[in-house]
Amino acid sequence: MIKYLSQEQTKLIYKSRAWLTPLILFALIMIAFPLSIDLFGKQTSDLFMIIIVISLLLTNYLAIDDILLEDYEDGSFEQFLTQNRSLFSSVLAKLIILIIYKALPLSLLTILFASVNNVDAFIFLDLFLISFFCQILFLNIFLFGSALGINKGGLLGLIVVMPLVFPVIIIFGQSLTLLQNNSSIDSFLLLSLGISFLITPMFSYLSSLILKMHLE
Amino acid sequence: MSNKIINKFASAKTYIETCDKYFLFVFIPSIVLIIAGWSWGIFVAPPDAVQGDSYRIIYLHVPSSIYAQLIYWIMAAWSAIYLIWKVKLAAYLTKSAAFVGLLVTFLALFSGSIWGIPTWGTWWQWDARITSTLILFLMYLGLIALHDSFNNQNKADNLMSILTIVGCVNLPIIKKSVDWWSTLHQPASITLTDNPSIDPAMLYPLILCIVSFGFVLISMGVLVSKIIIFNREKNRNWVKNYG
Amino acid sequence: MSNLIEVDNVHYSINENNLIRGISFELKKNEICHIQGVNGSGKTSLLKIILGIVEPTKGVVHRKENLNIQFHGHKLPFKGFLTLLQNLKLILSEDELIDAQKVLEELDLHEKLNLRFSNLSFGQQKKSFFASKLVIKNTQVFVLDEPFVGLDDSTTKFFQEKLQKRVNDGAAIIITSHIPISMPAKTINI
Repeated sequence: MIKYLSQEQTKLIYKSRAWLTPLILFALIMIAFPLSIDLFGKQTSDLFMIIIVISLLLTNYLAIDDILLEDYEDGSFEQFLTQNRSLFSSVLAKLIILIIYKALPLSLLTILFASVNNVDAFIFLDLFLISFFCQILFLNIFLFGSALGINKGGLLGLIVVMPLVFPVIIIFGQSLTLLQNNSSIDSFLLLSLGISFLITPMFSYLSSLILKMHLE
Repeated sequence: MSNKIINKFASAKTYIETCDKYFLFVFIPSIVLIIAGWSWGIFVAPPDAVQGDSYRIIYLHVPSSIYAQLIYWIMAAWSAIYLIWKVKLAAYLTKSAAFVGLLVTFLALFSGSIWGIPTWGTWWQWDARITSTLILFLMYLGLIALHDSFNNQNKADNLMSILTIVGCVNLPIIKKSVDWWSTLHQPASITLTDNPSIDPAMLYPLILCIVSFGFVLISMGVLVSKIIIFNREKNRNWVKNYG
Repeated sequence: MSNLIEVDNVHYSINENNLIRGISFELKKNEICHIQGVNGSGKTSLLKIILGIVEPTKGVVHRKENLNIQFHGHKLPFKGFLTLLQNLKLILSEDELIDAQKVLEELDLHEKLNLRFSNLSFGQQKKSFFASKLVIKNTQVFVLDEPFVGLDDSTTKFFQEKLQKRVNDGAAIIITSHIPISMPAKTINI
């Protein structure tokens, strides 16, 4: 597993374009949105809460983009199969690297922009955790989608998994509202932690199963 | 061994032959019953005290909303059968049910929007049940799009079945999550346990409509599945010799 | 089992179209199997069945236990954004890497080791990937799908010699090729 992880890490590090794109897009959205509204009339912190889930959704869709596609098109997956390497492990490794190298920096950026938009400092930790778990779920679902639509482009995958995304958006949107009203969301965070741990191997397994079907 | 027995009795050929034999027994009642149900509901049933005549769209709206979800559960059952026993017929039926489900869900949304204009003053509202029905509509659409995007049909069957089952797990989650929103929709009027909160004079035609809608959908599903099966098995001898 | 691979009456069909109808052969050590057939006759599908990526519709493929197969197909799984050396490091062990560098030197590619893979020409890409496959130790079977397409005559000859050497050392080869091969091979028509 360590070997898989380090391989995927090497691939991602040298592909700076893929690594930077979601981060830059996220920063651009965050810079652009206050400009589009009347800055003095409204509370930017309220609007920040509204826009955060959607911008995470967009950036994560972009982040997953060609994570599987590249290895599918250049025949790497076929090589894995013929060399008795586990497809599941390599998909899981990809996902974990993605979470560490993309979701984590994005969560940090979330905090940065939260402070820019006058969000109260004492909810920063909760906000960080919410955006992190939210992204883990998004990445899992989009991974599944990109595995499903791997030979027909990303849009098919997006359409197919959209119904899975909606509940995540609703629930995390609600949790942000609760957070804004100073309610405690510790139990929700605990639940998200549990779900993230469960869903990551599960969706990696499903995706590897689907990939194997696509290779036939 | 058991696979062989199942495949023999659940072959597409046996299915088509059975359907041909009994189709009229479903089709004729479906036409008669739907006409009876709708004319009873539209011409005989009394107008609503609050909503006047506009409520009569429930004779389309309620049956289609009920079947919109039911069909998905049926599809999930067929997908499970396909994945476990590799019965091809189950995959064909899943695909046909997806088309019927798409149509019914669209009808539910469409009739609901029409009903919404006089009662709520708007044709769309981000209400819990409307949203979940919309998501269901997208699920049917996604399943069909996924299946149609493959050249290798067996692969498409496999993926569609997996996705149907994943979506089936997702359905209760969607329901719970949209219930978080404060809901505008009236609570279900007819339940199996409580006394119905609807006048019997309106209820009986509604029940008739629900039953007849079931018949209509079954005959529609049979027709769609016939098209799909003939398309998929066109190189088989039994199809070439058919009719 | 003395045979490395036994293909037993394999059938394969896509959407009820029969592509492969009843192929049987076996592969022993030091043997080369040349699979011939017109375009679209199912050569690549047969190779995928032999590799175990695709399940045959009917029939079975027996592979010797823990068989070490190397597959070289139409696609080059090296990453364009990594240098050739980095790519080699991803799939080769240290010893193999030294061997690979020797082979690359014979092919005049050792100067390109620190270039990005996408900056090499198609022929160079193909050569370097083929070379990396050839040096992998303990390989019992090479499965090669049109390996000589896009290579010039002298390179084709070079690789055939290398392959012949591996075969003499105990490996076996299953190959499809429209370019005639000079190695002694048994021919299978599909």
